Amino acid sequence: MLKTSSLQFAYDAHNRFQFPDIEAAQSEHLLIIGDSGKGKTTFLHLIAGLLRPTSGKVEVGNTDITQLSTKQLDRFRGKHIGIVFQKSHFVASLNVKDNLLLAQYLAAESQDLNRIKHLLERLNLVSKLNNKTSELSQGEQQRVAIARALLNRPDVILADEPTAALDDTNCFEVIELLKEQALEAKASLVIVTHDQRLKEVFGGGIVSL
Amino acid sequence: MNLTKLSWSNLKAKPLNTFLSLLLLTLGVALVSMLLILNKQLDEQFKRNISGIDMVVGAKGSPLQLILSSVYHIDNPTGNIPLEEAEALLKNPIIKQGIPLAYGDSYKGYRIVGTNKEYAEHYNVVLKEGKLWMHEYEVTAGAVVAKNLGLKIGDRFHSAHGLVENAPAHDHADYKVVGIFEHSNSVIDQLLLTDVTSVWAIHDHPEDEKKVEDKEHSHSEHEGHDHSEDEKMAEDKEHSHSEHEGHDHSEDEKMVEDKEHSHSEHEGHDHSEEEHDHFEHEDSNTTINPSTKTNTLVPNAKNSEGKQITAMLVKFKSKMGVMTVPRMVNENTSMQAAVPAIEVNRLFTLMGVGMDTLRAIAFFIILISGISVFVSLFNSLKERKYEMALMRSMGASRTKLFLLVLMEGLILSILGFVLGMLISRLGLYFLSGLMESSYHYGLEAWQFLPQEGALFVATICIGIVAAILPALQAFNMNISKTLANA
Repeated sequence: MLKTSSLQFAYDAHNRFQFPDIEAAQSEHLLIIGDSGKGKTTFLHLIAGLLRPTSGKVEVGNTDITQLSTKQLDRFRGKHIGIVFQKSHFVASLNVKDNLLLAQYLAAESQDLNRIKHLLERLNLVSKLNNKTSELSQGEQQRVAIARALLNRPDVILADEPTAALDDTNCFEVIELLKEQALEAKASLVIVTHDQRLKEVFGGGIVSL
Repeated sequence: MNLTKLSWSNLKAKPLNTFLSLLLLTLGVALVSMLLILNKQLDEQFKRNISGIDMVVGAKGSPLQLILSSVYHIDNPTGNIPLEEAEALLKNPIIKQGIPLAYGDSYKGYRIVGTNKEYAEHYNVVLKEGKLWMHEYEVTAGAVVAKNLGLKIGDRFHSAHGLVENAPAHDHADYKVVGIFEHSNSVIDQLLLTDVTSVWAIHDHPEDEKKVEDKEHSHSEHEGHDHSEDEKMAEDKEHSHSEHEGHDHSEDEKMVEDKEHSHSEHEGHDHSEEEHDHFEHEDSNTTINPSTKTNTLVPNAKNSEGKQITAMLVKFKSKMGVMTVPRMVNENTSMQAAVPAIEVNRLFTLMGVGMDTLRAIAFFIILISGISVFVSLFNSLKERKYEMALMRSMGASRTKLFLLVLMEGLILSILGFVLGMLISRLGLYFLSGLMESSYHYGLEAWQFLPQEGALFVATICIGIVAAILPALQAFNMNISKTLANA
């Protein structure tokens, strides 16, 4: 579960952001929607602990992650937070399988090839196991990124514009997939987007920035 | 998945960058290691064969040439000296031992040296089979000669006149192999030893006086040999001539200098030389029958009157001899005395300049390779910034990313070192073959030097230093900004 309270962030004197408090219980879905420049990505980075807020709290489970040291934060993020980025970047020198093994390695989880195969099977990607990530289509890449976010059974799944680069069909598929997988993993799902298409299909709470 | 595997994948993903860095590292390491080994082995070879020889007496000419020819057997002799004069010098009480050397012939490029048994004793060579030469035309072969020419006991061969291969042969007399030495890592390995009287006899066939013979000889040489050889010999003669007359003055000055040199050296290294002497003493007392000094260099000679030898190796009873006897010989006799230690030092000083230059170049190459590693890591990190941020978002600590980049530098430098060593060894192996065929000196290619341990550490350090800046960059990266700007 996820809870933020009076979160503020300033890049400099002119770029100040104040974010609404949000709360997502276990297995709950939240859509944060807003236009460019409203600080969507900043908000997501604050929740993920990639940025430190000027003030306010971010609680994941029972931990206030703003109180963690950099090292603790890296570790906590690896174990409890799964992130899907807008463009599905991977370590280019590794194939699909190794990119997923890397996610387990970096989170200090045991490297479980069976779980990887199982996940990829669910996402219809098991045939791409030994492909380079650059050989996959946009939609496939996004699905591998989702698999990576789910891999370590996180408490919270954060998605930053996961559909921006996708056509309608792929867009809806990806959203369904995220919701379905988050439910199955009993994780809170937070999607940050400007993509108005999602408003109609998203079944959970919607917050506007 | 682990850091090493990830680093390796990253290196493989940039084959050209990796290749360039590796190539430079390998080259630098190979060069330095080859120079180290070459330097050490040349030094060893030279010092080993010097050991115990305090002075060499031969015909006037270049002292370095005298040493090279009579101690290392790689240059042409300066000429001959009268046996009587050498034996007269031997009466000097400070001289412990004199060993005669008489050249003239060779067999298939290997020199036949007329000497006495003390020469073999001096180098502590052991017989593998057969016996030492006893009579005229009997030969005991060095290990390498025997192996390379396939000589066996009882074999007979005609020697060729001169010290070069394919020279005209003396067909009137046969040498006979009576013994073969064990490998000793000294010059003996490359020589065919016989009695001085064999060398005399083979050039003496019309029972003439040696001096007349010699003159005739040089005559017939002119007629019989091919042109280029003649030219070379003429040049040689001219050379020694001009040196003799034209540069007499400067030569003298040089010798005075040399003496001063030996003086200071003596004072400086007194202790070690004394120890050395001690060691020598023990050696000759325990392993070899104590050589009671004889004033006859050629025990087998029936009549030594008017005979000549090429050179005499001299050991002194005390190192004080080095300070007085060479000057005495150079001033009062028709012979020349040269001190091997001084000449070899001079040779090494000369070669040292070249070695130092090469080494500087090699270190420069290693430095450049370090820069190349730095540039390629730096560039690839710029491209992989997003990957790094991504890894942080997946739970990697800053230290882990730092180590990841460092590891890439480390893998490069270790690989470079290993490949460099491999190439240096292969290079030495081939060089050894080359040297063996042209100088009859081999190199031991498959050994490791402590300095190469230092080279390893230096290479690793270069890899680390080259990687540390990019690694720090990875450490200090702003992940949020990097991810947002992707």
